[in-house]
Amino acid sequence: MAIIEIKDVVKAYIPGETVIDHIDLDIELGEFVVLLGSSGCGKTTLLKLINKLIDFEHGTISVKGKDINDWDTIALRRSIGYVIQQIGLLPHLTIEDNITYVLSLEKKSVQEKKVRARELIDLLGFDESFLKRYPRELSGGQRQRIGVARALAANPDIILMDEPFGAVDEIARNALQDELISLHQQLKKTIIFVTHDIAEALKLGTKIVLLRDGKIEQQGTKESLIFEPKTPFVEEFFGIKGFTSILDERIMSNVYQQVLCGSMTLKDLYTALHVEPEC
Amino acid sequence: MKFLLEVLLIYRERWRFFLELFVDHIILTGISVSIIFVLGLSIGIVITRSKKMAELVMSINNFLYTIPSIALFGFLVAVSGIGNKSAIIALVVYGVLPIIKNTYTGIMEVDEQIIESAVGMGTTKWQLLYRVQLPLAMPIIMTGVRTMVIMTIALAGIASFIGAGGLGVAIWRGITTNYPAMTIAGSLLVALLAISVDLFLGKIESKLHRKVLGKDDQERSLV
Repeated sequence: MAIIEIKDVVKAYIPGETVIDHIDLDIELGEFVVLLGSSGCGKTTLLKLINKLIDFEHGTISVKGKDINDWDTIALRRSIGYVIQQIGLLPHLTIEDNITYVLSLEKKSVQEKKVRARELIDLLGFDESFLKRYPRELSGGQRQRIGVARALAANPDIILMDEPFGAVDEIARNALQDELISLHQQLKKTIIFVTHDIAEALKLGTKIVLLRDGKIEQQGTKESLIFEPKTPFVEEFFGIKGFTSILDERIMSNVYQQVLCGSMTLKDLYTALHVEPEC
Repeated sequence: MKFLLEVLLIYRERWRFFLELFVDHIILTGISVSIIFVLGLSIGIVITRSKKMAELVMSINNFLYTIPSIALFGFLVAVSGIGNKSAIIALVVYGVLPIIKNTYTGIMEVDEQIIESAVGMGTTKWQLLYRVQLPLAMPIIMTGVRTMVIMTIALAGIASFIGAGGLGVAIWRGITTNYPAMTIAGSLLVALLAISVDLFLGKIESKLHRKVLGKDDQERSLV
């Protein structure tokens, strides 16, 4: 059974102008789902519906088999990790207090928090001395990793991420993405990740959901979206035109042709996409 | 010079009288400041929940501010009589505005992203207030507190005009008996109290600023 089931959901901030237009989406346990689309397509709204930051008019959403309207809002949110862009950390708290924030909301013991903070800082490859620092003493990339650590603190099954790496530089972003992939494989969390960056979506998602004007244009694996586009929009989005935003057009069409005629595997394509972003 | 000596002489001869007034002054302002702080903070917090209420409270406050203090004192004598009670009411009316304003501004200026991520992680409204909004608003609130305390200490000097205690008694007595040294002696103590409290609050304020807004490593190693 799907861990998150979204059924026929409609959301309009202003009556008549639907941002989410009859969306159906099932998310399985352990999946890494990327909600992809250009700005205004409703991807962030869809994400925030899940932890009840935004309410909706029509349809049902259930988390772990229970309708979210039957969930206690606070309990639901605490059982879901949430990471947003850059400044989600609390500036007046140390890194340790930031990481254990959800635990202190739940009044967990000092000892438990201490242990958990050290586990997580270890997991993300920081030195323990970071615990005593303040967010502003860290770089953007480091802060984002702390944000991820914080989302993991209460050991949630589901983690929602809203363009978490949007504000960090290219090199740091690559490292963060690699780290997230390995965390996902290691911890088997269900991750729902919002981005407008095609390369990021292709790199991270085990399932990609392409949104357009509040509707799901197509969903599936990256292979199915690239090679079996159902609409011209998808074809264009993932076609050569889509990729040229990342790579030089000449090189890209060359690479693409190789893939199409079979002399290059899809795996090589992604290697070309992510390992040499500057070519 | 001679005048200054005269003032010092009064202090020496009547130190008991001045000590008593000094303590009274501290008690009078202390009570007023506590009421102002609690009242101002609560009103400031409540009005962050509704913009209409905020506008209403701010305009009432601004209106109260336009009343001259002497007129307000006179009015209060008719309503709540002579003595400390009226004085405290007047001091509260004047002092509460900076606290309401700064509490409101401080809370409203907390970054929306921070609020959103805190709420998204399951922070209750109450937890949001005391774990996120108030700590982050504290530097701004503290600036208001500093202004308010100094203002209250100074204004309390006039309060003996309606029979309240404190150093105003000496000032008032000096004026009515045409004894300038007495007036100066009282005023100097008011100033002394105000300046030392200001220095003390300034220290707390900069400490809060550093805590909330962070400090770099160099600064930390110096502390």
